[in-house]
Amino acid sequence: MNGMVVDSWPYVIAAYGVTWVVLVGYAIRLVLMTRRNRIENSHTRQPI
Amino acid sequence: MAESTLRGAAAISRRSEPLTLGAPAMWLTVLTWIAPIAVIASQAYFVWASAPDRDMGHLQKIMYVHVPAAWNAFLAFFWVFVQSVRYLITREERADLQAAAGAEVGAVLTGLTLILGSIWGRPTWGVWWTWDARLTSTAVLFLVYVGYLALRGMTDDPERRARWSAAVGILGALNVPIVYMSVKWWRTLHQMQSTPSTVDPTYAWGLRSNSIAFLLVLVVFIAHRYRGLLSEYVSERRRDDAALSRRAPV
Repeated sequence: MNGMVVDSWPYVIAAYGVTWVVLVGYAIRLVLMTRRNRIENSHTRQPI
Repeated sequence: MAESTLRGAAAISRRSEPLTLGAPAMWLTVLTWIAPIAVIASQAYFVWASAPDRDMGHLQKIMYVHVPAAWNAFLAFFWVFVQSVRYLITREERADLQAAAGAEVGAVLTGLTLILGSIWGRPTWGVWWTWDARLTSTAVLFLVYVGYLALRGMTDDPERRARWSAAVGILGALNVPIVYMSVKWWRTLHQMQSTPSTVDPTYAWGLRSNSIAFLLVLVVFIAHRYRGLLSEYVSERRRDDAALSRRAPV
């Protein structure tokens, strides 16, 4: 494989970039979900 | 993880008992801050410190995210399996919600694994995708859990939803050993499993460290997703009870 890869860094940067987009994206989804649920549940606190 | 989450973050019990959602447990709050720091520190150190591989060059560094994502996806599906079996035995809603949380996070990590494998495959194999046994079985695993999540949206009856989900969750998890062993059984293009015992010792610590960092992220994601599902469940039950009380004769 040596010689086939002219520059491997763009692939490495792309891989770590995608990783962070996915992890941060999912974390944002969880934060928004928590915020929405908190607003919904703030109307009434008693257990069902 | 489940039991302490329940103690501190949410008190949910069997169907007949009250369901409440409290503040997150202290361990979850602490871990929510530690997990991203661990991932950043581990990735930064090993990307900077690990020497290029003789054959793959710097592409080897993709292993530090691809392999931990795959391992932790497997762990998430193992969690789905355990919680699904638990639901079928005990019929506790919390087991169903834990399984659903694990399935969603597992699907995200499996999707990430496939994308990272593709990025690695293009310069190494010359193709973004090939119908290799490991790649195909991983894609099937991903689709099974996407189907699991779609299935949960198809019915409003919580009991039916939980029963169907448990069945698919268990069947899907049975695919995990097939994915893991596929490189041994069919010997197609994908190399043998990358573990600390099969990679060069120079890279073993990077693999361990990043896998542990990803594990922390996995725990945080599942715990928060579980809390979200629990909150939605509480709201759903509350709406149902309000609708029933409106309909009840005076």
